[in-house]
Amino acid sequence: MAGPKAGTVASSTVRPDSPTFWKEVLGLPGGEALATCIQCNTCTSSCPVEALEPEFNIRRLIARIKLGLREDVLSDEALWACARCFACVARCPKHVRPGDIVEAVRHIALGEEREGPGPRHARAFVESIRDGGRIHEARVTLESLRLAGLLREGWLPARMAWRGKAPRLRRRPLKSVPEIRALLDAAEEGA
Amino acid sequence: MRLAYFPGCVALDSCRELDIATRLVAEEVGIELVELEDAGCCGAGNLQEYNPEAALALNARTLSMAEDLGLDVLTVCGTCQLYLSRANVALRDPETRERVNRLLARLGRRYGGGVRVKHFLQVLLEDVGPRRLAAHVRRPLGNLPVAAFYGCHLLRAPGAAEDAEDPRAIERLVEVLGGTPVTYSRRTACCGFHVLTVRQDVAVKMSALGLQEARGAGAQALATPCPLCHLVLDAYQHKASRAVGEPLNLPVLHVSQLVGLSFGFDPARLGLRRHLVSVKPFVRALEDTEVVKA
Repeated sequence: MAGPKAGTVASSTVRPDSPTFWKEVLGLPGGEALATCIQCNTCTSSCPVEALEPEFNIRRLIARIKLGLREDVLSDEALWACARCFACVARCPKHVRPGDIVEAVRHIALGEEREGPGPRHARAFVESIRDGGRIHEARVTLESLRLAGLLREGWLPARMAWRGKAPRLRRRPLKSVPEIRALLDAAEEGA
Repeated sequence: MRLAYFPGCVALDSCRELDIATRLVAEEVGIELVELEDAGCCGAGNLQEYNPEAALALNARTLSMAEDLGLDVLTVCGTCQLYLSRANVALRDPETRERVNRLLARLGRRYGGGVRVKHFLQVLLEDVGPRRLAAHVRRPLGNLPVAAFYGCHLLRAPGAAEDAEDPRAIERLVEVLGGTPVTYSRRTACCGFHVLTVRQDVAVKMSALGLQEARGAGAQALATPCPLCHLVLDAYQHKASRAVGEPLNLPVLHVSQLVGLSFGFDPARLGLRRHLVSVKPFVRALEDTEVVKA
């Protein structure tokens, strides 16, 4: 993954392209407390993903938002590596809720129809809710991984099927799907 | 005791054994489950990212269904517990509730804010209580070392009864079931489920480190209150073994299954055959322990 190295704020090739990006995030659910971040690094030190994938650095993500590196933040695939453990939210001494900021930034990225495995998974998940009320695991998995990803699972799907553990292939939509869809539509209209 | 049962998506699909075991245990301890059959998904963070208002409305709908029944909500999944109780907290704000109720009004629904969301683990320990639970134990876990794997979302759900940094619920439960809890530091670690399809390498390594430490601490089984943790820890364990370069071979039980085993239920009825990591050695060791007469 291209991008500045962990620990630095920005590489020389990244230029601020949206000085008001922080306001955009601040106005979204999850982003409200962004401005109070003091860059103490408690979030990153608590992050189990960063320990394995330093490209996902939550403290640095907040710094990049404040610096107005909009495109850099939204096009960064590492944005989708957050595992939503919320350790950072629990431990932040300034109650910035860093994990919720990830949610807000992903919301912007999804609204712009960004590509990649992360957005693909989120969209497949939401589509599945619209389609059945509850998610249809087999479909979400297939649409997220695609055939190539599924093949990389090797014998796992076969072993799961053998154990009776495989998710159902047939969808089982709730009776209330039309109601749920109407509710989701109404919420999207902002009515 | 009656509760509005919200099984969530995974406990009705790839982790059906969790739903089955939960129903058996609930019946045994006298909890009547009224299933919210038409409740939608909690959103699991994905819907929250896509459209936070839609996620809030969908969860408010679920909460209103329980409110209509006059019951609290029972979950069996860490992620369901987190997102339903997060919505419930957001809906305490009168302005937010009014706004969401305007959406629900289109469905002829309304949420007044009077429902509590509880996970089965909490219900077993607090509402059923250790004394009544212990009275149902027919096959005490004995000296079998069982370790907890809490999962992030149960611990970090608003109103969680546990100290997220040092929870004791599963260890207490294992003791009530006549067993010997094993503790280790990664019992509160993240299983990585929510990046499983996006960064499988990261998810597998995260779960591998937890499994490895639990095994090193002497655990012969893990107990988890979350089906998503269970999927990673059990179904992907062969990949975890590869990631740490040693065979982990640690059976993973849903909390409901562990309780069911100690109640003396037939392992086949608890869906143990559906696991990818064999639970047989653990069950065999358990069957060697003395059965307490009713």
